[in-house]
Amino acid sequence: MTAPADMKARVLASVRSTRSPPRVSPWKIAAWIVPVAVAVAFSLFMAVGGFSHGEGRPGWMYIGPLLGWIAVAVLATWGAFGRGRSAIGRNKATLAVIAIATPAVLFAMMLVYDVAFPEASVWWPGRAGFKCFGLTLAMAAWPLVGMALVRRSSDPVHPGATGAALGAASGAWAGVMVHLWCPVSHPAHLAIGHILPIVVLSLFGLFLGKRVIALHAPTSRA
Amino acid sequence: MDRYAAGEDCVFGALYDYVAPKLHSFLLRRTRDPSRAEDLVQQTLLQMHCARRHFTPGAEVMPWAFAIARRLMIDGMRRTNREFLASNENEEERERASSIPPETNQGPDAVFASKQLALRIQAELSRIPEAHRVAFELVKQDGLSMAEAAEVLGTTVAAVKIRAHRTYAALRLALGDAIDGGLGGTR
Repeated sequence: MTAPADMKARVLASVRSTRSPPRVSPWKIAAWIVPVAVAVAFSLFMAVGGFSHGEGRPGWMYIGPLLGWIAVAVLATWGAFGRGRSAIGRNKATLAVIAIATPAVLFAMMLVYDVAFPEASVWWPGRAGFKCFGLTLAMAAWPLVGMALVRRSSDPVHPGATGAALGAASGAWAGVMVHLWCPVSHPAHLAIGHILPIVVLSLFGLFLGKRVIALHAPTSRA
Repeated sequence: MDRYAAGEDCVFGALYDYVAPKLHSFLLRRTRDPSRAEDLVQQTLLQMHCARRHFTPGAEVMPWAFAIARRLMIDGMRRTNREFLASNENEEERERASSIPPETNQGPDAVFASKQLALRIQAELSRIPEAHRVAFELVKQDGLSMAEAAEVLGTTVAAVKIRAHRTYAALRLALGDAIDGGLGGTR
């Protein structure tokens, strides 16, 4: 059975009466979100003490983990925000792997770093990681909301997974800044202050994805 | 779709001609309700129009269109709390849903037999889990490639292959060798 002949006229009429802007590359839109997110994150970073807060560490304590955090953040952003050659995006399994593996890989990387340099993993009394936790959330919320808005009403298949992966990616970027700020590398502190917020951001991204990124049916008939 | 997404509004008619018949066939088979299928085709095309700014350059349009159609169908089903795949649908709707074209060089017995087989296939399909059935239908009945069906369902090509194969195996177990002829006709 074929589509009714008069349906085409009805669809064309409804399309003509509904404005829809043409395509703009999401990377172009991201080009203004990234500077804004970086500016906000950097302002927060400076407001809580900036580079001076964690100074006194030898250079290798900065550079090694910093490069690792940046590499993971770049990969997570590429996987979560990019879509490959598909209009739908990466499949659910890939997005779930990004959301789960990002905090897991970062934590494993820092544990390896602690084993290699035990002097870096001393416990600092009174530094359980709650400030780092809050700072990561405060820095990551901006790019996460920005990327979700860029992807608004675009995902008909797995918006929750897309949002969770974006949450992990933005958490990793915030972790880069927090690493510059925080000199503590004890595993318990890392788990609470640096890794747990990425998990929280993934869960928030899951929620945000279903609310913002999802392509849903209109509430009234077209 | 690439040209339409880039702002060439005049090509929407051609896009409609390419997409609408396949969407209509897919939705009619899923909903068993011609007016509901028409409504969903219109909604899908309107959503494609509204979301054209998100269309990836160079991407295939059919998986995207099918994914939007499926999402709208699921949303509608949830909203109205309605059972789309009612088991007590009448014979006439089943015949309409079946896309077997009556071949002019076949006798009435052959046409009747092929329709009966299509009905048996539909009945067996309705017993198979949703995820497996949809994968099978997208590949075997809507003519999508494994990769395109995987995009529509948001899963991997391997998962689609497994689901489609399990559905095929279940149909073969129930219907025997006749399944091959029946699927050839329903494609």
